[in-house]
Amino acid sequence: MGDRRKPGLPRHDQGIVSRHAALLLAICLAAGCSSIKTYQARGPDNVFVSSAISKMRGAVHVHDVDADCRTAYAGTVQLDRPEIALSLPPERPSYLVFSFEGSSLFSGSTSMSVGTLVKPRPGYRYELAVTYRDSIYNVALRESDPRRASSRELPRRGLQDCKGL
Amino acid sequence: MTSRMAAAALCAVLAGCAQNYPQNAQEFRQMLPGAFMGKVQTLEAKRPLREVARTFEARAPECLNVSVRTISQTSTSYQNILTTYKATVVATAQKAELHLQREYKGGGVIVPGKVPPGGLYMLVADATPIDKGRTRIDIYSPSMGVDVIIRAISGWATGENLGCPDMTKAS
Repeated sequence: MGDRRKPGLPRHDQGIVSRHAALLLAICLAAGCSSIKTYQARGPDNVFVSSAISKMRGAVHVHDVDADCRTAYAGTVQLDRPEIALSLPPERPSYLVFSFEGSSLFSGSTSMSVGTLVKPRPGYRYELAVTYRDSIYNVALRESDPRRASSRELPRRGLQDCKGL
Repeated sequence: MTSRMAAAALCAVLAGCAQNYPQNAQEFRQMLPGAFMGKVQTLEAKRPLREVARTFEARAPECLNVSVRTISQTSTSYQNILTTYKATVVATAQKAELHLQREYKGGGVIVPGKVPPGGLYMLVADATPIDKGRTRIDIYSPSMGVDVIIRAISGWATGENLGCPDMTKAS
């Protein structure tokens, strides 16, 4: 998470936080003052996230994006299973921020995040393959049309590409 | 933290105690081989130069143009540093170069010398053709703290792993 920002918000930032700060965060979470909420389905599942994450905890934070490219946090889903399904509103852009968090004795707690815009087309299926292994990560997005059995890879798009989406 | 100190030591050595930091990639290449904690390594990719260059152009901006915020706190101190990385790829028919620069903001970081636009040079990778199907990659970097970046660049060069380095693991 960025400092003083909504959960996982869209910054191409990665952060290292000390153990003390992580402890404060844990206390805050335990006290119920976290702004993180579970993402609620808003229709049929159309985005499928497969993840292979090693030695880190992964999550996807969903943000709605309006016509002026402003974001509004909608919720979070933990990547604690090999595949999860999301229902994103069709014909509207959403910004998905994938976060990876971990800790070690020497470096303290670390977290990093990477975001991509997704604007689902009705009737299409979207597959996101998320990997994190040996400090190398990848987020690959594929759009497929079940009616034609065709698919194509989509580039990762940042918020700066919102207007042209 | 050790690798961060190593990077600082390398910067100091490259500066030659006269705050004379490399102002471009060519100066960095020239100063690094003789520098304390500097390292030049070479690898071979079984791909043509144009494919390596294309991968550098596609992956470097996406993966390396990032910012890392480091917050460290003890009972007596608090530090909040924003490190911004900037990648530049220069590709021609004969060569592809990847330059990585780093700039610090906040946290009381003082760089005693002239910082080139975009930040201090921290890594340069040069790809040159061996023959039609093979490319040589020379990587100039500190000997510590950039392992994850070098692994990522190697993966891009060989085409075996197009993932991005977690820059929180670089220092």
